[in-house]
Amino acid sequence: MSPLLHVETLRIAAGPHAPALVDGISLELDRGKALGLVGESGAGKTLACLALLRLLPEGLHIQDGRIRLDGQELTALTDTEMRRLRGGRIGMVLQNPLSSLNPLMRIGDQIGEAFAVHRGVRWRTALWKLAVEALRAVRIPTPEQRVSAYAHQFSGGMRQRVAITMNIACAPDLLIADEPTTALDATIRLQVLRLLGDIRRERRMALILVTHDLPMVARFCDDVAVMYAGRIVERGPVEAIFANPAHPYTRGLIGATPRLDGRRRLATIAGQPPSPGSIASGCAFASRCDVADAGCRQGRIDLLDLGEQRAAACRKPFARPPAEAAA
Amino acid sequence: MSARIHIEAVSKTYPVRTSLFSRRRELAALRGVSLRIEAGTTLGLVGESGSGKSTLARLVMGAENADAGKISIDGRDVRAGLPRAADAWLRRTLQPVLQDPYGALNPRMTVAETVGEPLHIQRQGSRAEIAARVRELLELVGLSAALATSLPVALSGGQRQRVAIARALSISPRVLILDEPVSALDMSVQAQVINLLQDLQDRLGLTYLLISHDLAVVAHLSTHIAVLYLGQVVEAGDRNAVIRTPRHPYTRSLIAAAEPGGEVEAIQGEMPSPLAPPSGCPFHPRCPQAVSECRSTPPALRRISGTHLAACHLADSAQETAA
Repeated sequence: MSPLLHVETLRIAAGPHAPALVDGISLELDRGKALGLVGESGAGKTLACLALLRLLPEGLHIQDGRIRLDGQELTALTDTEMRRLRGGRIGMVLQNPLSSLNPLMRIGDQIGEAFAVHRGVRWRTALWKLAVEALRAVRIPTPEQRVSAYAHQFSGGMRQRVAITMNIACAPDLLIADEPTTALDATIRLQVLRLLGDIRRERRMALILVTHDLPMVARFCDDVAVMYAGRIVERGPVEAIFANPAHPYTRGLIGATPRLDGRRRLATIAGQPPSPGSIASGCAFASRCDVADAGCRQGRIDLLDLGEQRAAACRKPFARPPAEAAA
Repeated sequence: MSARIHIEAVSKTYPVRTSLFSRRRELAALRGVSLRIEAGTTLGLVGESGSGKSTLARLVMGAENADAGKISIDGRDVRAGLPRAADAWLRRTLQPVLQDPYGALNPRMTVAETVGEPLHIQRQGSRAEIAARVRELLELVGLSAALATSLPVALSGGQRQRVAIARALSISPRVLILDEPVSALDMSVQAQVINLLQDLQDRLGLTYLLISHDLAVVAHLSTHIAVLYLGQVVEAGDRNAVIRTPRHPYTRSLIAAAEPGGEVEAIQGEMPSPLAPPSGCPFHPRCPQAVSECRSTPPALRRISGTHLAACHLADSAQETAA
């Protein structure tokens, strides 16, 4: 069976000769699966997702590559066709729910809009009835009263639930959630993530979770793709990668994550993430890497198949620095 | 070099209007909070937005006054509007490091000017002495001397936070108030700053009051932890006791939310508004174990063992659940 989403060598830049902000990434995602897309700011996670929706910021373009959803080539669609797809077959939830809600519209009308646009439902009573059901599905208490409220009358966690409701109202095949819980408090974050997990299983919806929170990916995703400087440097099943990361950057991120068990010292990655276009050749991570050698600074280092559905863009996968290997 | 902080039965209420035409109401941000921080240790304050943790930090910094209760550092009173000499002493003793390394620095001042400014204001040394001290501080926080003439715009988030820390340390304070010091930083840089804060404490014997919504960061940096809920301490104790044998159901839910694979049931609902706190235990509307006593009687913060305190009627029966 072919995957639901198939991205091939996607490249995003301001022009054909400008430095690539997303540099030839490839991804596959099956129906009902969750992929965690992790990386630091500027790694290109959000741009890659916006490209899937064809919503790149002014001036940036898909320079190369293919995006197929259920066999349909998205890069070839007209704007009108694309508009029908967004909110229909693909949903997107953003970090700040306030920015995706209209402050002047009642919640029922906002959720109803999705049914009006994508299902052709006309009457407000019918739309509100659908909205009440949709709110109930995301476990909002007393949805009959809540449909007539405005966004400002909702708490942060409830707003994010409403934003999720709007985006899953038409049963999308794919939901892209970009840092959906970063603005929320810890206990609310867990509630929203569990809700997303339940919906995904109930509806066999595929989920791309963009985040910098590794424990969250370990807990809620099947697969993970780690991005660095516009490339995917490692991808594969979550459990295998967290147990034994192949790329030194993935290993560094896992070691840098504070944990409740309170080790006294965190592993660190020296230096800062590079700015786009500053890496001329070789591996973008080489200057911060603890196992890099001269060969890592030349040519282009592509994803290398490691078997068991894993791949890493590293000449020395699974290598450890001498001190650590001895310990 | 270190200092001991006492917070005794501190309460703080703000008058608020929920809309333009409504009457003023009282928002109880802190309700009888008592904590002590021993010299050279780190107290991590955890709680969700609205729990009162930032209010407490403002009171400890002497930016505002409590309505009731008392705060002291090494036995000396901390409050806003102290006499000049006492106020200068407080500024030298305690310095804040805030969340946003972008907003905390003057965009027109170089790194060296920013770090040296408190020394000039406090008239600590000649120009040459201050310049030497600035070089020393930059080295202390792991910044290259070449960055001394840079403006904040040329620095990364991690470098800016290091500058903010160097500035806070310039006048050799004994206490740092760390308000979400790493939440704005990228993962790899966050670990560098966490390690730096640990090293500085080891080398200089600093006392830290750390505020964070991220329990993993708090658990990593703190020797002691206090959990705030709706303006009250619901659990406090040394780090291992609170993390390994949490006695309050709210603490357990925070741990479950932070620990991958933690299988404690997710608590329902959200924190009630501090304008309308529930009767009895403030946590009872969300508590999976609440009994009728919890709805009527507020639980006292009582000793579980040693320095481990919890405000829960069921704290004793909770022991088995945690074990």
